[in-house]
Order: sequence, then structure tokens, then C-alpha cells
Amino acid sequence: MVYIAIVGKGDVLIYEAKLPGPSSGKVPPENQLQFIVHQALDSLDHKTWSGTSMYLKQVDTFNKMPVSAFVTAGHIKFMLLHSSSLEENAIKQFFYEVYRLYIKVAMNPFYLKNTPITSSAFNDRVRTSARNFFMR
Amino acid sequence: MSLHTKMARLGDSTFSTMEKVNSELLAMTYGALVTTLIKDFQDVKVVNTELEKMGYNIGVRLIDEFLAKTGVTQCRNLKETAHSIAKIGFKMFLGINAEVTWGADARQFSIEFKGNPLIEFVELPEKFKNLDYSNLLCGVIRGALHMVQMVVTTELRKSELKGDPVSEIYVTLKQHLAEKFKGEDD
Repeated sequence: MVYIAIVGKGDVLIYEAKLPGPSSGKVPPENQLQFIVHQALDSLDHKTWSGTSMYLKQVDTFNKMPVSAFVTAGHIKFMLLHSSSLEENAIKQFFYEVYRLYIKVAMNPFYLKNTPITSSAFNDRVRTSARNFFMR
Repeated sequence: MSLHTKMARLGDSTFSTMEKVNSELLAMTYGALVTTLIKDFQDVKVVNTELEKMGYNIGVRLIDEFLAKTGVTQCRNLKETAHSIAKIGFKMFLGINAEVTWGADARQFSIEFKGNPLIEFVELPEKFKNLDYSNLLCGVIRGALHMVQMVVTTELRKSELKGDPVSEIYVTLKQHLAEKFKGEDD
């Protein structure tokens, strides 16, 4: 199981989903997932300015489960809570795919920036790419 | 060469000579326009009417550009008019191929098209499911035909945004207008 959260400006949660992916031992309960990811935001903010790349690799760890992150040019943060067995390359490609999907949502004139993403098409496509990249 | 093939060729050649603008810019400008209208009027029905009115104002001016750039002569019947709009008009202004299907009687026809550049990236939220997003195009057709002495009503029957496979504009001819000239002996 892999958990993704998209956080916008002002630490507003825009999207979250539990995606198919390799499991490692203990999975945190549902209500803790958001907190874990938000906890990682501080180290994420710190790491954002340390380099030039959008993919920030691992920014935090919780109970041996790493949190990886990706920051877009507009400072929308994609965060992934996953097992340590997940390959970095798969995570990187997944993040870029989610980035492409996010851009399509952002271009919709009816979508207001920093509001929750309710598009079912987006949801379906994120789940499909998670299946493609994480279940190999 | 059939008339329709000639029209399609004319549409293609005119399209290639037209000055072009970035389609994403067009789509985003139109999207901003529609969302601003919704914010101002709140009511979807009113927004539909406003889009049609704007389209009408565009159409009355666009017909001159159409006639100037293509040099087509007067259409002999409604069938030719329908095909001119679909094969030449839609191609040269939007870059898309449209088809004509004939309606219930000789005064009604529909123009079907796919790949409308205005709806690129758009996803209609549930609360606006009655919004005729491309209603501007209906107004353009009505305005343009009014300037060539035809009164029509147009309706956006099907829309790719609402889940249909194609978009469809249904045109009904109401009446032909006689050319009016101002009296010379006033």
C-alpha cells in the first residue's frame, strides 16, 4: 500500500489516495496517514531550496517507512508514503506522471487553484499509473 | 469533382493561409471568459444566452471575413449553405472537420464535429451540467447567416463535454429575409 497526498500553498490538502503498491509490514492506520505526511512538510520545505530539482527523493521517515516528495514550480507538493522496498526510479517516474496529470487539471478553467481535486478522471489515472509503476 | 469535395479543398487551403494563434491560448481565454460570466450572472441559463449573444456579434462580423477570404459565391440552396459552414467555415476558423447531417425536414440540419479547440482541458463540474459551453459557436452561425438574409435558430444538441461522442449544433431555418433598401424619395 502506498499513500499519496497533494498539498498546496498554505499546507492545504488538495488530494489524497491509498494506492496499490508493495507493502512492508505494519501499515499505519487511516487517520494517521495525513498527520505523518504533514509532519514531513517541514523537512520538505527545507529541502526544496537545497537543490534545483523538483524531485526531492526522501524527505522524512516514519517507523522505517520513507516519505518521498516532489515539488512543482508553483510549490504544489506531491508526497508519497511508501515502503523502503520501492525503487527510486519508479517513484520518480510516478511523480512526473502525476505532475502531467496535475497540469491537465490545473488547465481546466473551472478548477480553482488550491482547492480539492474532485475530478474522477484524475483519480482513475493516478491509480492506473500507480499500478503501472509500483506493481511490477 | 463534386461540390462538397471542392468545398473541403477550399476549406483546407483557406485554413493554411489564415493567421494562426496558439490553441491553448484560445482555449484558456475562452475558459476564463466563461468562468467570469458564470461568476457575474450565477445562473447557467443566463450564461448560455449571453454566450449566444456574444457569438451573434462575432458572427455578423465574421461573415465578411469568410466571404472575403474564400471568395465563395451565393449558395443556391440550404444544402450548400450547410456544407459551406461545415466544410469551409469550421475548417478555416477552428481547424476542425465538421459533417452535415440532414434533419427532420428540408429546413433543418445539424453540424457534427469533434476536437473542438475551445473545450481543450475543460471538465464540466456537476453543478454546471446544463451549461452549453460552446454556445458561442451557435451564436456565430446565427449571426453570420443573419447577414446573408437568413433567420435561423441554433441549438447545441450534443457536447463532448457532456459525454457525447461528438458535438452537434442543430440549425433550423425560420425564414429568408428580403433585401431591404432605403427609399430614395424621402
